[in-house]
Amino acid sequence: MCSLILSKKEEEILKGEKGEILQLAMKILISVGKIFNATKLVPIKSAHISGISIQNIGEPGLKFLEKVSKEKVLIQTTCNPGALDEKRWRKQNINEEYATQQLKIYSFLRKMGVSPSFTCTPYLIGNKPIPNEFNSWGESSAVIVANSFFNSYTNREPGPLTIASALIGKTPYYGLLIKENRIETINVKLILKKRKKMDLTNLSAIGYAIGECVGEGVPLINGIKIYSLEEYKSFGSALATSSNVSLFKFTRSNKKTKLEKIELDEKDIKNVFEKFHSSNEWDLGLIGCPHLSLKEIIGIYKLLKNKNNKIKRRIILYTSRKILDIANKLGYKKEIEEKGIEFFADTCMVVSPIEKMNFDILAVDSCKAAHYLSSRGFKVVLKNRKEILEG
Amino acid sequence: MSFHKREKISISCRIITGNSVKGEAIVSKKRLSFYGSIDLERGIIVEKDSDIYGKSIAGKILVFKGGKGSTVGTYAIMKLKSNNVAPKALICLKADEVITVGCVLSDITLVDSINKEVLNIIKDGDIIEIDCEKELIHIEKKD
Repeated sequence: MCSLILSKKEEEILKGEKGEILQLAMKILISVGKIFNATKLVPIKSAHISGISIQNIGEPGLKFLEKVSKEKVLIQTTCNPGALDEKRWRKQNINEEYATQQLKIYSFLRKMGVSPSFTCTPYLIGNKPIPNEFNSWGESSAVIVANSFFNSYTNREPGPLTIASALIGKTPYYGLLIKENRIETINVKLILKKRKKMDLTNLSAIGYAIGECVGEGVPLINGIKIYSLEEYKSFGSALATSSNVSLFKFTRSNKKTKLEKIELDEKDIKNVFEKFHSSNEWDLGLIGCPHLSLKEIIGIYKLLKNKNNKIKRRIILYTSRKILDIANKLGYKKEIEEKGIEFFADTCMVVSPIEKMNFDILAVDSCKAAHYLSSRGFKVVLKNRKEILEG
Repeated sequence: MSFHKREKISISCRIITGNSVKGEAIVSKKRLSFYGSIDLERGIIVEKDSDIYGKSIAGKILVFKGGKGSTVGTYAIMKLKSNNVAPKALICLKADEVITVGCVLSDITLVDSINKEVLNIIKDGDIIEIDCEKELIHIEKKD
């Protein structure tokens, strides 16, 4: 039934000799492989499951996860945030019934042997992608960081495919798993004024502007250079939001090539800030898209340290449980909370029902958050982190 | 009353998933998002811009250009199935991963790689038969 070449063992799974669930998983891998003209399945080192929020996947998703939870994942597997903080969900004004459904999903994932990471930044908490190895990751922001920062290989895979891959330990060989497809396809020249230090929100806006312009492929970017994981995370998540790009590269060289070339300047960056500018006012600040790293939490602590007063407006920080636990042990959590700022873990503003909180206008420092929250109909203003933390 | 043989056409396709199936066609020349464009309770197209706006896809063979939009589309297809208003099969020019996974999980036949002219040949109400063995689509024109 397929043009993919299967091993004897894979054939057996497809025939159902290893049970109904693995048969279904194999069918998913083969069908998706088929549409991308994959020739084989390849072993993977890790998986990262996206699409686990009840808000996005609803009853059908819950039923699917319940069904597959009877099997175990074969490789290191983490998963995305869900709709609620396991410990503090009552503070999200979520009702009991909704919470029960999401908590069921969390328990199905644990049952499968998935690490209860509930974060879009698995690479910060132990699922560190290995250079030149294959993976099956969902979550566009994690995928672009895995490819571009870690030089590990993954396509941007749909949620159920990442689950199928984790159960079989393999994924179809297509797209960015193939070396030839990782070569740059378009030159991007940035003409920007010199800044002392590029803040993460600016990087996010630049990434978003590039994505809107290129749409797809592997951009080779000239005119800016970023180094830290935090910078890759902000820039990459925005780029992957406004486009299908899942790998980018930088160059210092201005050498002419045969590739198509596009130019972006200050005006294009300004347009992004204008796109996400509903108002000068805001009453709820949301920071942590993608989830905050420990380094960023320490950065926030430092920005707040010399502030004597409590923050006037409500501000929420989103991070993973693991990072929050470390921040707690090191004392940063308490210090930040004393300034009147809250933390949520296991969830984020994009995949949770934030309409349950009382607010008129949101302030965010990330273009990914701005994009998805605007598309859900909320009024959003894009500001840098320092501005938001001034409260 | 005259009896003439109905016109029959066969075209080649690629089977992505599912079994041989026969049913009545509903045709859209546009891209379709399964999340947001369809009333998932009734299987009716609710996207105003759609060329099959207001029509039902329940139990039909949906012939369309291809997918668009949210990855949640996979779960929307599953929702249609659990509400018993899913199409029997999908035929499109180029299947994407969102539709593919949705069809595998909902046991809906999915075929692609048809010539784009086929969107003009097949009309609403034509009887379509998908032959998975031979990777063929047989079209029986409505009178």
